[in-house]
Amino acid sequence: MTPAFQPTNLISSIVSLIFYLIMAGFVLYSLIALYALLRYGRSKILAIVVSLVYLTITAGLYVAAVNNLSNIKF
Amino acid sequence: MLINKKILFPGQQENEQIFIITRQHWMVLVTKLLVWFLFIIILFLSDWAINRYAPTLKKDPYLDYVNLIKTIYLLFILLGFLITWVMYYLNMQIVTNERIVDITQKSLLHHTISELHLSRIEDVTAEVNGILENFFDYGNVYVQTAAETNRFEFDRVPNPTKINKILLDLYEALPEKQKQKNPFNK
Repeated sequence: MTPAFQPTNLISSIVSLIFYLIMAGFVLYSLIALYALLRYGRSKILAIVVSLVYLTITAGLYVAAVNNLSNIKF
Repeated sequence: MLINKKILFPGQQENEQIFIITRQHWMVLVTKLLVWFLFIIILFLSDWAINRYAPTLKKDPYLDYVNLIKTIYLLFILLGFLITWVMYYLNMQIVTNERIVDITQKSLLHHTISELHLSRIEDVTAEVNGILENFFDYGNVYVQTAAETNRFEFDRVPNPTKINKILLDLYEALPEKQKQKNPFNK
């Protein structure tokens, strides 16, 4: 497993800050969308299945993004 | 056709019979997803452009930046797909033997439920307009209510003429007493 990204200078700190701000926005919007689906959706089973599939795919992509960030040499 | 379902909307009576549950035609979703698909094409186009015009971006140290941007872009494409589908899925109309219920999701956190009692119906119009609408049989159904400006709209639903007929049949099936409550029906 790739170790967590550790910023080592100012540029890397700024890049990581921007990255995590974007991710925070992404997570917020995702949670709102999933909340609306689970709260107002007629079929709870469908909503749960869609949520799990979405969370699985996005978790994979998030790990890939963090790995890419860690691989950047400043 | 009678649909036997559990409670679908707040205020649903125990013995209320549900006749139609409908949402926008799947072609409407496909049209929206075509726009979404353009963003995927941009991803492939950017790959092609990098190969063709900026091959240095495929080598260290730029490769990691490109990969990072692509991954973030993919995450947001996925989020766009989820939001498009959720907005499509949460909009629906229900017709019962007593009323029409319009459930509208205007944004992710803006949910409205409007109801119209069948006795308030003045006029029902089905509209199929356009090549795709005619080919796939979907369109709008307008329900004019007793209030002059108030108009219920079934937006791009499948089988609009069938829905039109069911609404009129349900109105006709109402007891005369209920119809007379509508001051515009004379």
